[in-house]
Amino acid sequence: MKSFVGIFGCSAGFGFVIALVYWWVAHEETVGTVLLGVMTAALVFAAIYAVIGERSARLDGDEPDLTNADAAGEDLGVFTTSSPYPILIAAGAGLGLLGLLWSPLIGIAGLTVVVLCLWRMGAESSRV
Amino acid sequence: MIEWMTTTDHKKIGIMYMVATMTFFVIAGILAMLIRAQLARPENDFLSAHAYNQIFTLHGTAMIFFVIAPFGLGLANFLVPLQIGAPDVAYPRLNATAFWMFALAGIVVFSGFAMYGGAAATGWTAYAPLSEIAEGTGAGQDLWLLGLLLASVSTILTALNLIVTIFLFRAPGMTMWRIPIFEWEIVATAVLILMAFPSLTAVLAMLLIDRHLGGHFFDPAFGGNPILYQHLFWFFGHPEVYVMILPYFGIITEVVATFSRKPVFGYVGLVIAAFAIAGLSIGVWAHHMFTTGAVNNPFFSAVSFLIAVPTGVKFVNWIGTMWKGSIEFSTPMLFAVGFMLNFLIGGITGVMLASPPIDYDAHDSYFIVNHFHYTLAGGSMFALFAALYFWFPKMFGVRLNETLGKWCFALMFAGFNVTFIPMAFMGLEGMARRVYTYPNIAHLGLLNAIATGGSVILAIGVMVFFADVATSVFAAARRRVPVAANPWGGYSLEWATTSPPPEFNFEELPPIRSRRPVLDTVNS
Amino acid sequence: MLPDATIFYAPYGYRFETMRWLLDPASVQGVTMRGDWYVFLIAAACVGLFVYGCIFWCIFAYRRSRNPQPAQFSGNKPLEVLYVVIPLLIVIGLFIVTMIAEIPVDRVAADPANKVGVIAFRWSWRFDYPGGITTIGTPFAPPTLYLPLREATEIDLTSADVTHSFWVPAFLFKRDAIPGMQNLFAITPTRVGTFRGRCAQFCGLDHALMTFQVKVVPDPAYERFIASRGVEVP
Repeated sequence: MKSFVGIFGCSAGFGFVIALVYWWVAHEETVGTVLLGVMTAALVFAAIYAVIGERSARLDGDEPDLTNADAAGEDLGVFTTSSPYPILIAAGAGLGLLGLLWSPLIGIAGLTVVVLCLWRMGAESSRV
Repeated sequence: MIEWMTTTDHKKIGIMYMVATMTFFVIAGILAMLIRAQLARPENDFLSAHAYNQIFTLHGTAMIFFVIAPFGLGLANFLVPLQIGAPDVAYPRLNATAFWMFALAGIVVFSGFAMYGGAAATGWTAYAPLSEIAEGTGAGQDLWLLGLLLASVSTILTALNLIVTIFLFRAPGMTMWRIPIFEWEIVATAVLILMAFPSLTAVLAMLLIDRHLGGHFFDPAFGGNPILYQHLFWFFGHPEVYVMILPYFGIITEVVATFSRKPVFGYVGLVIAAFAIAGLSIGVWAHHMFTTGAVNNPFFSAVSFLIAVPTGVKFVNWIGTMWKGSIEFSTPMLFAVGFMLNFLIGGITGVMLASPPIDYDAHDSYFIVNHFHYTLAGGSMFALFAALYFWFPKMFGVRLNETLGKWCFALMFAGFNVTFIPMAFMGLEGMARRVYTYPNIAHLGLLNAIATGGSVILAIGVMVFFADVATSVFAAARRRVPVAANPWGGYSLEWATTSPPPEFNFEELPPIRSRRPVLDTVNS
Repeated sequence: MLPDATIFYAPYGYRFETMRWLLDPASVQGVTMRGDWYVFLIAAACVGLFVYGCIFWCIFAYRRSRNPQPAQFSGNKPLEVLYVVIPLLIVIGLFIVTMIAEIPVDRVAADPANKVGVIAFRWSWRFDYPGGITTIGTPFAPPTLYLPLREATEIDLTSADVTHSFWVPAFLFKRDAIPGMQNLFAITPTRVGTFRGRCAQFCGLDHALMTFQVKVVPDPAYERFIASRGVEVP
């Protein structure tokens, strides 16, 4: 997990530096500074989250000498093998977007499909 | 059939990605052959201007958004859980959703051809105001826009999935410093996607608002600014080309190490270089805008030069991996060497283009076409075929034919270079890009004819690949020869399980104590 | 139906044009940029040959039949530091060379000797000379831009509709024509002659036909052209 903090921390630091340099060199051109600044903000957000998360994380993968027997029995979460919802959500999202082109009704229909699927997916997870 | 439509197994999803991207590859390749047919002679009338403009737009869009980038992510889908010892990705249903969105997006973009007025015809970059007026106003452009919006959501979701998987689902003993280089490249790619794709979503949304909701973001008559479009587009666009190369760097690293029978040279250096490239790529976007006179050229030139340094580190590390190794030139290794030879040229022309005085002549000419094809086709595409030949046995339990594979490589390498070397000279002789025809001056006719000839050879090479797949699969159907778990002698965990792997990847995970866990089990 | 090449491209006296503008640009700024090109081409050749040499050496010397037992080293710290530092020094040098070339090319004088306005539109060009002379072309009758020899002409470039690009390969130079934006740059031709120009930024259907000619004429002929309000065409 330390590498997660490292990656996002260093990226945030780098983003800060390059945004600053860009502002100093080309401040009359606002778009670049804004883009770099917003991106840096996102990275800082992720880095802070990483630092907070790292304190409570203890991953099996980070222990260099752990054996499979030691790690047995750990709950890794839900791994479905199949589900009808992904293709339905994709179709719904596609319809939702195409509704912008054709008619708002189709768009709303598509988004409704997506919302329904997401709701049912929650039930599917608890069932597995 | 229903099984494939509802699966959430990362291996099947990865295979579907690769089948879909290879389908788009063939379509985009046919579009390329149409381009070369039109340009074979000066003042040719095989294609009308409007047809040609749609064709090159869709060729670029398809190759970038529906072939090279998603193949890398699709391969990551297949490989990441295997290489880190996980049973699947972190969010299997999200994974499947992202794939179906991607497939649908491709269909939406190409359905533009069926529209009155045709498909999008403003280039894969769709600069405003062109994409807002005249031939940019058709339904084809809207479908292109919406398809790409869907594809960008799909890509962001996959990137999230892969980051979480690699960080949280590694098997015991698989510390971050033991994961294969391919995994590190995927982490860097995924972080880059998360940083860059929102800009694409934003600029597409703004274009949509301009086109249909009365916006004037890019229309100077109402106070808008066309340069704003270019900034927002390239802030995404340049990291996108690194999204299209980093996974392939990872592929090359794996292949070179395996076939040289040596550990990866300079592992830490490769990791740092991957992130240096990703980070710096965020700061170079306006080197696509040197000729606008609206950006700070020295800043972008300097940062663009800096990117050459970590890329050079990678190159030297690959050579260091081969150095004093024992190299077997099986088909994957041939494609890897072809990658290195081609990508070097692309990288060198890239460093040249980072210098604005050079760009002032070369920009928007065939010199640029030469540059980006050497990096994306000579580079990424060759690594793509290396990956196909390398991991095909693992994915399908069928070995591809080595002789056909070597022919495929030879034809593709020769064809590719014969096609694209003349383009550097065409550009220097004053041939602009995105032109449906050109006059019979200088040597343009001869150079274009050579390029078209080369493209035919390249196409035949690709056809040999598909012939290879067909014959190998049919031969295996007739008489199944089980493929070993590790036919190439690879080091990473995917070679420790059967070919193809079982449902949750590993019957029994070997202990992981180094960067080459399979070697440890062999030696223990 | 395409126009005959000889209509919209002036006849050329040179038989071999491969990279001719790289060898012999027709403007002062072009000569400056040529120096940049040469430095980069030489550096490219050196780096390319060196890396290709290493790759081919590996292919030849370390193939399995010749070297069945691989070494097992996985790093070399001093070497790794070296090949970060050396490329860094090279690109710093290349950046300095770039700046030496770029600054004079981008410079626009406060009071130029000659000013011409260029407006790009779909799909030809409009040239506005001093004294109210205006030339407007069509894709099938491309306009001619007259420039005085050895005088710095400031071009005031913009577009009437979409983004175009004003490219003259003989000057090794292009600049984008952007609607709503004025782009100023200077050209100082060094040779009398007729040169091709064209639009380089994709602008739609007839982008391929959006060409023009640049005709560099001696200063007296240009003065007469301006004084006669375009009647005495050089």
